[in-house]
Amino acid sequence: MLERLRGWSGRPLHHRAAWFALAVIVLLAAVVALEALDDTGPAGDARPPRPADAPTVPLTLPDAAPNRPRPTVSPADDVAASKRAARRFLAHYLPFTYGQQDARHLPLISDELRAEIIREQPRVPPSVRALTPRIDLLQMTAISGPRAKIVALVNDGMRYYSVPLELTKTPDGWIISDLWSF
Amino acid sequence: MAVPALALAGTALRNPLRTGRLLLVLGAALALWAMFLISAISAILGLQPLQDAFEPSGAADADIPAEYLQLYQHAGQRYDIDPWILAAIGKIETDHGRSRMPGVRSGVNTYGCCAGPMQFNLRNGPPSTWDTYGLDANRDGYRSPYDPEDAIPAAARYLQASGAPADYRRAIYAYNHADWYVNDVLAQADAYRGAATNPVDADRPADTATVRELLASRRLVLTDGQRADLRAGGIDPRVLATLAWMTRRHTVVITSLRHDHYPGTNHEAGRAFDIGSVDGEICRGTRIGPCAQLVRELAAVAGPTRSTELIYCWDPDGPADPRGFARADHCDHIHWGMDA
Repeated sequence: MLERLRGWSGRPLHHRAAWFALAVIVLLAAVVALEALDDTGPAGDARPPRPADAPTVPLTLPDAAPNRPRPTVSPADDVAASKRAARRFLAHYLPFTYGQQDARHLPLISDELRAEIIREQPRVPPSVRALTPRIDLLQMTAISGPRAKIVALVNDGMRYYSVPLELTKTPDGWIISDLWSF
Repeated sequence: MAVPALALAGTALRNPLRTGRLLLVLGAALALWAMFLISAISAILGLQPLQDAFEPSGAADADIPAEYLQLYQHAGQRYDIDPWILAAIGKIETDHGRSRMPGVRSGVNTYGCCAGPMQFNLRNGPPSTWDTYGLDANRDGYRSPYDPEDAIPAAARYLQASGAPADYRRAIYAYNHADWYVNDVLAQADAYRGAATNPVDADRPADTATVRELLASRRLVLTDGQRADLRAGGIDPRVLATLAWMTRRHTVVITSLRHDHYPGTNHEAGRAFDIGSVDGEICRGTRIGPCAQLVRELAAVAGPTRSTELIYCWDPDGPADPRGFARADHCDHIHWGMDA
């Protein structure tokens, strides 16, 4: 084996040009393959799987709580649970952004996001403080494993706007982990 | 490393017949490697394509004092920030410095924190936001939050540090922690943004009759941000045509168009929209009712406006047609999308 390698390395360089080209092609193919794998992150609308009918494949929970029982939850259950969490969070968060509530009471939120939100209180003019924001629609935009993206359409009587939410599944349930990532 | 390279070069020179092939292979490899390197660096640094530039709209010309307009544009150029976002913040905060409220020309505002035409926070430190981002942009020897020549470039600097231009929502939220504020700034910026200065943009359908028809339609419920998406152009004509076609038969609530969807999908390319409600019914994935009726109508469309991504809670066109399909996370909306 060693002799064969030595013989191969002793061959004139121009005999190895084809090997060199092959090595470059293999390397580039690996790079392209890794790039493609990286793009298959969260399930998006652009390149979704195309099942024949409504998906019923159970979704296994991530290995976040090895000591707890690991129930299998269907995506539909996760959709409902994450939307419930979003609705409960927004019920406190929206009044906070209108200067009507304290951010300390925000439920179902990651520590990092809470710290970012309470860093500064919103400056709310009296005309906005008097408004009552309500959720018109809550839409699941994507769910993939332990992450979900939800958009809420909010109407306060003066304006109609969207609030994008990113949720993460923890052993204790779904929590809001980001607000502006769309 | 140098020895094999020299040996390779020597061999190539000694064998002129092989030289061409070898150089060709090396050239191709280097070109591909350079392409890969550029993509990797772009991905790491988050390089963005150059932003489209827009002239001031009639509303901007009428409302923004000339001095401020110039400052917004210069600061935007210097820090790669949309000048109309800066102008919108200036309008909402202090009406471009014209407000007589406390804290605009001296002292701090009624919240006890903020000062100047761009309402920089002086009290959330040390160091305060102004301490961190304030600058003496006009080089008059003073760094003053009350001087628009200092405050406007400082605001651009702060927006840039907070995530703009890659993520304007996050950057504006940093300015004032409220989603209604983000919405107001984006809507005001849209009103100030006039015609595109880039000649390529002249081909965009922003001013077509379809856009005007959609914006005027009472049967198409859009957020301020979605209206801005339509006005800014870049929405696929097939999307515009389908929205117009739908609203001749139904009242629909669009839950997501372009800016309000996470990137990397046909939404980002202006080729998709989501419907959350049809004729007063909130879509919940049932097989009867207005949502079901509309998704069947969309599945029955033939020709160039037939969606290649029609997604709902159940497969609207049967298993034989791959263009329509079901997903469990699409039981509360109809997704209509078109591959390129």
